Amino acid sequence: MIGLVISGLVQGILTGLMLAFLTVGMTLIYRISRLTNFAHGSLFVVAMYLTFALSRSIDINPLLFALVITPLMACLGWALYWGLIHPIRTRHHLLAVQLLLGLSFVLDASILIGFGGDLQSVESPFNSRFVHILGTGFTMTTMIGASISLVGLGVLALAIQWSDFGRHLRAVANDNLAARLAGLSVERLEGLTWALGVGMLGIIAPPMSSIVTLTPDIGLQYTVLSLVILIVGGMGSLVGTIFAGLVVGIAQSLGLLFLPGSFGALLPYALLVGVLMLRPGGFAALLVRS
Amino acid sequence: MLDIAQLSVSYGKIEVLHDVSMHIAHNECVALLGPNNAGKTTLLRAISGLVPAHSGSIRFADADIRNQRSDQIVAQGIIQIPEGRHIFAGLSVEENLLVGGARLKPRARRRQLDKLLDALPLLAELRARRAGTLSGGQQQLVVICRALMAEPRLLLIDEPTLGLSPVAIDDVFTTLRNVHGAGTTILLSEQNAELSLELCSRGYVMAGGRIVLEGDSAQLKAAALGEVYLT
Repeated sequence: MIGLVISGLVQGILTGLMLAFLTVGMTLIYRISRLTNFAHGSLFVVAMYLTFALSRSIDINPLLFALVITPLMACLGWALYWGLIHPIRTRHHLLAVQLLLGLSFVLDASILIGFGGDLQSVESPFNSRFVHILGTGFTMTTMIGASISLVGLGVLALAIQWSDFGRHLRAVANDNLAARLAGLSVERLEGLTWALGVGMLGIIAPPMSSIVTLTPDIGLQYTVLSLVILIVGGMGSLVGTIFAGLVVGIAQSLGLLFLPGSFGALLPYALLVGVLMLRPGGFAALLVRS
Repeated sequence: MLDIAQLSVSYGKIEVLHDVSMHIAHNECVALLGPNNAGKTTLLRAISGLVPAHSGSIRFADADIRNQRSDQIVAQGIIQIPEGRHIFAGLSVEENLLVGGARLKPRARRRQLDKLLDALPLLAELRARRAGTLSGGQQQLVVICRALMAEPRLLLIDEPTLGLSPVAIDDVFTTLRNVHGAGTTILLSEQNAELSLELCSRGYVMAGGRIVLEGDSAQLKAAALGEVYLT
């Protein structure tokens, strides 16, 4: 029993790190543009299908495809900002929400047209190699995905705190007008943040695509899951997002182990409801209080 | 240095600035006076490129800057200190200043930071504090220094003493006097006409989106328009 709990916890932490990394791009975009990217999950699924497509035609370890997919996704994020978001930035923000939701349906449908509705998975040699932690075996893919996420989140946190880009991003998030008057090109920074936030999906998509089963309709699930983590973390807080990612990961994995049927998968949403009722500011508010 | 001619600005269909013309020479300190809603803030925002102007011209150092982007205008050395203490509350004092010098090269930025902190020991003490935790007067000082980080040629200042204590107001004016003394051109919009006319040599009075009076400080004081425009 104890062993099961421990293995569930470790599984939850590994998954949680990847979920946090997956969400953090959404967090950054929300922080600088005050916009929730409702196409985030679909963009992630696009990156996973890109991995799938590449893995069918080129026979190398799929994790290496991140080197191609990351810059591609970054360009896509940049283009999305300048093509869709920037032209309507002064209009009502619900317009952008509708646009992004619409985009997610277009992306999902495009994947369905391009790849069909069958279940797909990306074969990886790392799926059959195991690492043992506290007596439970985890696939090499999971370990690498979690490690990349951990390192990526650390690098990102350092960059936000210490680099010019990070300082400018925080300045814009703090006070848009003052940032403009300090000579920052807010539009350029927003474009870069979209490139970064969407580009990061290209790093995590290759390992995730070897872990989960791909179908064209999972985009909205990932959007909702990211949204839960974003809100539980406290809308725009980097540290909050990491905490929330871990908590959601652990809730999911323990829920699947100990709750009957599909109730386990509902646990993250129960968590969302609980947080919204008890602590609407999310983990970030909790951190500030202490 | 700054030449504004027949400038008009509208918000939507409503024109809020009508035919504003103004001239500021190099090294001058010019006061912009007038009651609330006279259009002072709008004029400063139009100069900084934050609101579009639909007719007229704004020339700075002989180049037309009307409707350039705000970051391009900052790059030419026109720095605005906006009304209402727009501080980066979540950033430290030092980070606030560094953002002010965003357009400088890293080494020049460090040099400018050290120079300012040397000149203002109070700020040097506060450099690691979160700016949002400072008092109003300290915040205003940080905001002024953030503008100075950009090495301004023309400083536009909008109501720098709003909501400050008398002691803090003195501090702000002492700082501004030093800044002007060091050779920076200033356009100062301020409710407190008496104080600003002491600092500035000339002034413009605005009302209802127009310039209704201009002259040197002695003339403006003598005009005794206190009741009408200068309070």
